[in-house]
Amino acid sequence: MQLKGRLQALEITRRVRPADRTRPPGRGPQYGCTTLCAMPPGKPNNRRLADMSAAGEPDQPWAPELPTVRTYLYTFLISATARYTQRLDCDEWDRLVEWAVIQSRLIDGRWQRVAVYDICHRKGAHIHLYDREEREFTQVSLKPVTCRRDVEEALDEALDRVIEHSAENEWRSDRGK
Amino acid sequence: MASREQLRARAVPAIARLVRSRDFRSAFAEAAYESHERTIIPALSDDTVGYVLDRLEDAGGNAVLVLLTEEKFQIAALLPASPARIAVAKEDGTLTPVHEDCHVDMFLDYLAQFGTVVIRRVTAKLVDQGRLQPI
Repeated sequence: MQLKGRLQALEITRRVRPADRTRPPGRGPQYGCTTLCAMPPGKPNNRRLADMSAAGEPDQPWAPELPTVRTYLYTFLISATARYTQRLDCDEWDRLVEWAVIQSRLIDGRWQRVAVYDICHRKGAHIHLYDREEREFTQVSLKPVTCRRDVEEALDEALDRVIEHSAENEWRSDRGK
Repeated sequence: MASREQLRARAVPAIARLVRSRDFRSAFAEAAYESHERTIIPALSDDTVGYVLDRLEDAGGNAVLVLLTEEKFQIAALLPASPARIAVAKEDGTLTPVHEDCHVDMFLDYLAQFGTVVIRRVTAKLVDQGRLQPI
């Protein structure tokens, strides 16, 4: 590494903030559903739509109004050989468009994905699992994403789930199934 | 019994939620970085500064140390200092030696002793193999 073998110094900027107790944990800015929730009931022209809903028509997958223009990448090092990455794709209003949570481990000096939780590809929240050669061997659906609020909620669930299931993900990665 | 790695991992969701808030992102960009990529080192209160420096080395010398306790987040942005900044620190007496066995909570408490100003700058010395030595 570049830091080895030569004199270095660190400049440390410290910021202390109390944990935000006024906001429920895991809730960012709240958004209304902007895609499929706007049909007023009761008008004759809407009757057929209401009937379709009552018959259990599946919700359409959420699609962002604006494309991604900025990506934030946060990598959490929790040991010399394990890390998690949170990727946030945001639009020009800095609203979350897509996200991914990536569990990785260091194998033979190379970081390899173990599991990727994401909402890309308009498939709703799902998991990609990778074997020790980092070949994807399965995908598992987690939950549908039909509105903007679902995007944030699914990310919260993915963060909790990836920690809870990290050992299981590694075990499956080792077995490749 | 959970390993230290598992204990650190348990803090990740809370920190991940914190860093994705817009207020935090904008405030942090002003304080330390312009890039949209961060390496974050979640630490336990009894992790050593040596452990943190090892992870800092893994991160290429640029990372954010976060200690999550029941009451609050304690956050320190770690980044290489310029030779000019080091020279100034030597002159004004803020070049601070830190032992690698020092615990993270002690380290952050030490930084907090500088007063009530939110942001403080301190320079520590990192020498061969990423190990700290008294200056």
